[in-house]
Amino acid sequence: MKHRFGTAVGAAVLGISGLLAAGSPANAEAQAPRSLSVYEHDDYKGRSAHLSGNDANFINNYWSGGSGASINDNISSFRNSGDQRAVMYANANYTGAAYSALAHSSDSDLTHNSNNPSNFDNVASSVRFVI
Amino acid sequence: MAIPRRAGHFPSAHPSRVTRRRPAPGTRPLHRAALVLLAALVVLAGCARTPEDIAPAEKPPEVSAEASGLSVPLDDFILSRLDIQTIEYAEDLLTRACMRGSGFDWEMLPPPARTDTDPLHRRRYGVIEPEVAGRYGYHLPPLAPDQQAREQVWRRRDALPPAERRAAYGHDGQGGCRNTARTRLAEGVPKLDQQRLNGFIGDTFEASQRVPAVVAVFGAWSRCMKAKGFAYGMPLDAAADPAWARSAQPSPREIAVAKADVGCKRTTGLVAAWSTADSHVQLDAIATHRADFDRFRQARDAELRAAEQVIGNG
Repeated sequence: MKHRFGTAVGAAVLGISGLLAAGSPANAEAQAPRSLSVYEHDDYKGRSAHLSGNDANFINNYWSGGSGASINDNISSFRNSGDQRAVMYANANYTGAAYSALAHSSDSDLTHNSNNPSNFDNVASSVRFVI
Repeated sequence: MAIPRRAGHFPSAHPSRVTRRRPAPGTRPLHRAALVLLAALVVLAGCARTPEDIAPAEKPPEVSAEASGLSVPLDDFILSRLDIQTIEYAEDLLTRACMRGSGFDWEMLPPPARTDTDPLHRRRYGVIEPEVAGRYGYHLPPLAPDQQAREQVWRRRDALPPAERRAAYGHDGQGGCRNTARTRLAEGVPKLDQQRLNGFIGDTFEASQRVPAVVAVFGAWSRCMKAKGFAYGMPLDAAADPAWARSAQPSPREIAVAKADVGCKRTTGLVAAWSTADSHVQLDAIATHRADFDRFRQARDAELRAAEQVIGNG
């Protein structure tokens, strides 16, 4: 069961390595071991952000372009162009169901991954690269 | 031939997973041949480069018996963290061979660990370990030594000189020896529909929270928390409190909430109730979608078997 947070707080970044860069995936460091591009809409459309490290809570991570909107509970597709597997969690601080993003993989539509139309679409709240 | 799940993940004389006794979660039996192989791998890895800063600044708490014992039926279809280490090690062996062909070396990740120091389900039901709650609240504990060692290798890979980087990753980051290694490992391995598998993971977790027994225990947990002065409707709400994101270190309040959270989970039997419901929901899904899960298992086993063959050929 997912609960949303209406407001973003501060700009603190948590996580073991805490490396997170918001920015255009087009400018992302393509050769980085950790390189997860996330998108607001299906088929890699809409606003985007680039994750290059663990992030314990997406509420402090914003879509590129300066809109000020958080990516939390708003990711609908992703591309993992990095060398490491990433695990996105349904809840902050790496809790809840874990969704694997294999290295060099993509998911164009998180809505239709199984029978539940709400599945993982607009759900992810934290990400951790597997080590 | 089926592959032993969570076994040594090195070539085994016991081919059938059906007839094997399942090891305790988070552990893997190691056979003599595998031990010899592992020892050789350790020596070889040690000759390459010693990871810096292997010891964390403070000793992290060892994963508790309760957390390491958490398992769900879907574990039989997905890769554990140790499985992933096995695959990454095989990928490294192939990458190194390729890199040497181009006149470069390749620093290997450490060989797969025997015991999982940070199992994937550790925080599935939120923080459940008293020591973790008391020291770190909802923040992550420091990396375990084996994780530190792996982390250092990954970091050094991020800083390879340009020529080595191009040889490893190609000009666009998607090619080079890493791609060669991945392609080689994927030969003959059925493609896993990870999206669909992820869908079941998400669906069943949500469904588990609608089981009446779980709804009831959530209510009991919430009342317990309220009695301690904290208002949260659901256990994962406490972990996700936006206040915890305001600093890189846990605040006294965060620690207090986390300790109360763990205490209330114990008082109400929340983890047992939730994991029981979780298992039932997952078993139903597996039975209902048997063909899907057969394919998931085949793909998972084949991927692991391919990695073990590469490691076996050393």
